[in-house]
Amino acid sequence: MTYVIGISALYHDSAAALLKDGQIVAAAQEERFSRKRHDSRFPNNAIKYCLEAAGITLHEVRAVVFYEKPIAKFGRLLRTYLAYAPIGVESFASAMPRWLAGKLQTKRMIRKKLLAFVDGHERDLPELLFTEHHQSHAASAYYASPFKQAAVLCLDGVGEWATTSVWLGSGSTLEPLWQMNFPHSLGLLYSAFTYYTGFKVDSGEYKLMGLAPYGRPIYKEKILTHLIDVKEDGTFRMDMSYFNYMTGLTMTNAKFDDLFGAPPRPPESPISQREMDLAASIQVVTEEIVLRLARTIHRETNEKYLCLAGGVALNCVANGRLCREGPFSDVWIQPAAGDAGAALGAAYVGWHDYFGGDREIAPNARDAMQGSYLGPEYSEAQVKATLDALGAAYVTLDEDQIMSETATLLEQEKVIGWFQGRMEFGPRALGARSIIGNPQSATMQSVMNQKIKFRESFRPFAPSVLAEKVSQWFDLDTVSPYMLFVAPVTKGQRQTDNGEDHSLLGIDRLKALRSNIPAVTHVDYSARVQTVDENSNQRYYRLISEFEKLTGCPILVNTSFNVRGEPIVESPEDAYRCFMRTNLDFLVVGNCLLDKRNQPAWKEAANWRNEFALD
Amino acid sequence: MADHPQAPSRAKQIGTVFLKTVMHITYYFLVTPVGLVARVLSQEPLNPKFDETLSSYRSPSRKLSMERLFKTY
Repeated sequence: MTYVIGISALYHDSAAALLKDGQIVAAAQEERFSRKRHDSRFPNNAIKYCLEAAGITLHEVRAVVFYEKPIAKFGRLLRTYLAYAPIGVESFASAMPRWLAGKLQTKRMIRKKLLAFVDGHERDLPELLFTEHHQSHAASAYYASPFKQAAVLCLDGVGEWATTSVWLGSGSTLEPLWQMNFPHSLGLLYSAFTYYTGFKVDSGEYKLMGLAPYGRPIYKEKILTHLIDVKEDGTFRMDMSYFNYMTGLTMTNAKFDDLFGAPPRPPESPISQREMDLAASIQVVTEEIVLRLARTIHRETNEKYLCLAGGVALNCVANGRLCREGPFSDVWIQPAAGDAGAALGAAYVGWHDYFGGDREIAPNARDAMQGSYLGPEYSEAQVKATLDALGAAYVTLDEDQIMSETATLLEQEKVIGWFQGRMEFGPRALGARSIIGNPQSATMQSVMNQKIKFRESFRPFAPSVLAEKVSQWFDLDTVSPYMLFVAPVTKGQRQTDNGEDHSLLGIDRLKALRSNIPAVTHVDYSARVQTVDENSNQRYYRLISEFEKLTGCPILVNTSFNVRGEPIVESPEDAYRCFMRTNLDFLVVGNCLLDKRNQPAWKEAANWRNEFALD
Repeated sequence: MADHPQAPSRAKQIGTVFLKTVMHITYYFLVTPVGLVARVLSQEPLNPKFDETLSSYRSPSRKLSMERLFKTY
């Protein structure tokens, strides 16, 4: 038996993944254990969990594979400073000490950290390998996909040098075809607009995507004329005189401000129509580049299928267009498309390229990801022990009762914390660590945003829909188990005669009732769909089915079980804490049902909101 | 000194200022001149302008090999 661990760390979203003979055993992000969002530290806890899940120690692991090449990354940094000096001294003075003090010694640091897992015995350490950043992304997409052969497109900010790369996967090999290099990066362009519109880089990109439907793409031509030159094949070059990320401590500069007529929006200040129009504009540009690249790759490789990874692959609006308008028969996207998923890709590279392992695709499985439920789970005894220790008041029901009771509460428009089975790997909650609600409620979106998640009111929520019913509610002709495709609500479910004032702009557009499922219908009638089938998450499927029996609606609102700035809950204790801190009405952990009204008073010494930096 | 509660933070502040000064000197007196020479000699600038004569901005990818898995560069 060959065990391989992949790790990503030291930039953001540290994670670990474990393969056994090429099959995924476990994968988790460090932030879930450390409770620090986007935690970049070495993933000690995630590795420990992976080993426990497999019932092994590090002695039995043959190789640990790091997800990128740190010295190559340092070389890119140095070359950038050489290209711009004497500009960039502040960035240099800020970055270099970090590299000199540790990152240049990544190999030594990893060995030292791993030594703690083998009682300090050097000879017991597994082989330590290093892949390339985009190789890790490409491997995470292709090897986990259901395709025997496929083209692969990776799009992110930057790794070593590559920012966009194209690969060809066939059997157990993955071959690089071509790439685009730093500083010309679709991910960094999107992040520049994220920064300019007042959101946090490497975190707020999905907010910008959610803001786009409120705006009009009036800046599209300006972007395409001044900021980026896009060729017919989708490759592009950026005019770096508008950007500051090469050598500065910000993403954009004064010339960028002049182009769009104002400085960046200060974080947490009111969002204006201008930010919405900027969001709409960069979103359209992104979609068109992705589509052009896809058409080029299809023409050049003649492949039927496409796999996608890298942070830009989390742009589910672009993914939706790629599915509807793109040339490929099917598109598969790694659910942990960001750097966390690169840990899984690194492990795959170890298995296939170093050990020469075969690739086996299970005949009846949708893919190798097991629904992305790859994290820790807790037995009923563990759940009860935790709840008892916390002094929580709960009732234990059998499975039939918990399903019918929860569905009834949802029908009554209660908001429920839903904690079941193995935790999700990747940024999305898929019904294992979710907050769920009734999508038919006209007030659910604002209640969930402001009283439970404590986040911006404009942000939409996603629907979880029974897979076999998806086409009755959404114009989507594929499965979307990982919530990675946006699709329009079908015309039949829309409410067009809703008295909407079409002169309204921006956030005011939220006031109109747009469909029979208003809580998950965005202002442009779109929804970020998760299809749920019985095989991947039986309990969640059953719950939605019970809800459908009561309401005729096979859909639930699904959002991650956390508050703004907090990592998604990992343990029953995290879940109870989040339940008590927020205005959640009920909590369901396994078969235990907790009513907020019956809980003892929740006391905390400090203001808990200070625990989490705003995202 | 060890008993003084402010000592570690003051030492840290001095260290930070010293480090910043060293970094500034390194940047202006080492990185900048090397960078200027490199820019004069380089055939491949890092920040090229838009080029209407090109049909694509792509670059070839480097071949991968198992040996490279051992390297951090």
